[in-house]
Amino acid sequence: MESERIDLAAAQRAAERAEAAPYIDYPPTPAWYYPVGGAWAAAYVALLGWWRTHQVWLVLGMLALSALVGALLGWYSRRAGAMPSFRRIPRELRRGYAFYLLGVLVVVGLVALAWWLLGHLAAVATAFVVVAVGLLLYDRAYAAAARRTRERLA
Amino acid sequence: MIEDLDPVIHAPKRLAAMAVLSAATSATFPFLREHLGVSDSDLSKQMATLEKAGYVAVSKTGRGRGATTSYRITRAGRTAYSRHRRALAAILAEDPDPGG
Repeated sequence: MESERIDLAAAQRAAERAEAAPYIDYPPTPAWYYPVGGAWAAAYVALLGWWRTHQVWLVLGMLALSALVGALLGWYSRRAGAMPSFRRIPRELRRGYAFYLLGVLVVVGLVALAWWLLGHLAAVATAFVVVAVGLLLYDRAYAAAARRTRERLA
Repeated sequence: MIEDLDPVIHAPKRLAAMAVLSAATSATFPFLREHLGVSDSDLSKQMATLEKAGYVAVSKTGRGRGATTSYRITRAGRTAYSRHRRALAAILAEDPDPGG
């Protein structure tokens, strides 16, 4: 009976480790990812400046940027081998996801503030810098949380 | 409780595969093989059993050497896995020696 409990406990632990795998077993982020992310956000803000004068180009540009996101997700999914479904998120990573959402709000706020105080071009530059740096900081925080998860479940 | 343990999922390799798929939108064959630490043929066999039970769905993209096989958990698979996990947790939470 006791050996059966030990087997079941081992099975539970193995299941917990496997559930965390899509979140914590991923290849290192390439260095180009952060500036490309910043450039994507800068392009988005640049397009927003056309909302009065070049509406057709604005729509086409937004579609192109959406297609880029789709292509990036497809590439990441093939490279990593598994895409997290946001179910069964390991506890170490839950706070990171919450901070990510907060970070998006901060970025939007800073870009809007730059636009209001300094104009459209300043907002484009701010978007590039803030998003590139934000992605770098988030990636490092995520990697640290993933390492803690690996250690707990080792 | 013990009757809620699903014999299809209870085998360690299939339990690990279902656990990975329960937390992923999809997972590729190489990802599962690496995580489970099994050979190609063994993984194919385990996944065929899960597919036959209706717990996973398989899709293939591309052709030849660049082809990728991916798996995702089905609704029936998710239900069965959740029930299995709950049963495991409940059995382990029981006092092993109530008289002691």
